[in-house]
Amino acid sequence: MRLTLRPVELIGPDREGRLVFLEERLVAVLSKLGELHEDATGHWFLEASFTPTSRSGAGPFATLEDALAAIGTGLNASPGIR
Amino acid sequence: MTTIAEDSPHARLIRKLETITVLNRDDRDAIAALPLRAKSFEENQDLVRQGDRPSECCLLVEGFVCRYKVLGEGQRQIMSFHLPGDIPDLQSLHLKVMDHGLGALTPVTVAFIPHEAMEEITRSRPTIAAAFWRDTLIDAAVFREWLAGVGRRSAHQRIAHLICELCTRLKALGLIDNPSFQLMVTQAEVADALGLSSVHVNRVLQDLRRDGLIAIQGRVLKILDWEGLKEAGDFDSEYLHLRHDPS
Repeated sequence: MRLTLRPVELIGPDREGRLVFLEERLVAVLSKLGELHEDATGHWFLEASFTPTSRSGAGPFATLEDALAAIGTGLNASPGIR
Repeated sequence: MTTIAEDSPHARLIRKLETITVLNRDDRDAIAALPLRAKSFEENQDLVRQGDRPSECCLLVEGFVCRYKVLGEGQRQIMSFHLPGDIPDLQSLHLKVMDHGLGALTPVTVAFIPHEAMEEITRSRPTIAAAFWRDTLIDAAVFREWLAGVGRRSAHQRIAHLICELCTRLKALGLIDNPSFQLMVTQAEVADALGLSSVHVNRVLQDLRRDGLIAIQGRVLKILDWEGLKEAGDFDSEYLHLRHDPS
């Protein structure tokens, strides 16, 4: 499964974001947490997930790869939408 | 008349019940005569576990306790917060198996009351039986309010509402006398109670600070604008059914 990323600016304190696509379909929105979040600064947070089995608000994940792995797991568990 | 120290377990229970009902001297004396077994717990310890069959009720004397369930993927849902004077497992008198756990959110002191003693006092003192029934009904009213919040309120409203609720309950119990109190719960625990992530809780607390509604210094939360916070949280204390609204 190939997930691609597109940078995006988000509203609110954590502005740096990524749209996550499976082919041309949007599957999730990630944000990079800023200094407000102390120990989790620099980690990635799943703001929104459009797969039925992933939960918005999951994370924070230490790396972008970890976040994408979690999104991939959610997609694999949702065969109906592939 | 029996004399009891103001911060004794019996006094805590009397004060709690008197926030929701009227007790006479005989009722207070009967409560003061309840046999108790005190026990301390560390933060994060379980007082009672899901599946337990308790033979005692636990009266919270010091500290802060939650009711919770752990779901399949290890996620925790906190269903209520409890303050000194509460008996969070009162229902174990009639529901023999615990369908949830009770966890200590801070170091906690509880006083265990044998079920036989609770059954005896409810048989001999109808006013106390009615007070426990009323407390259980209010418990259900709080669950309804939380369900409405988790189902339909925004993250901002849920957090503002919870701060208003805790402040109102602490004031009613005489545990604080100004709108400033020690935050006894972590952001992760607030998140687990309100169906949010810690990230959202952190963002909303910063927003409430920026809007001049609260101030946070260390673990002390101060309400700067009570009316504004009530409005932000869509908070009306009616569901707590207190005899005197302390705000």
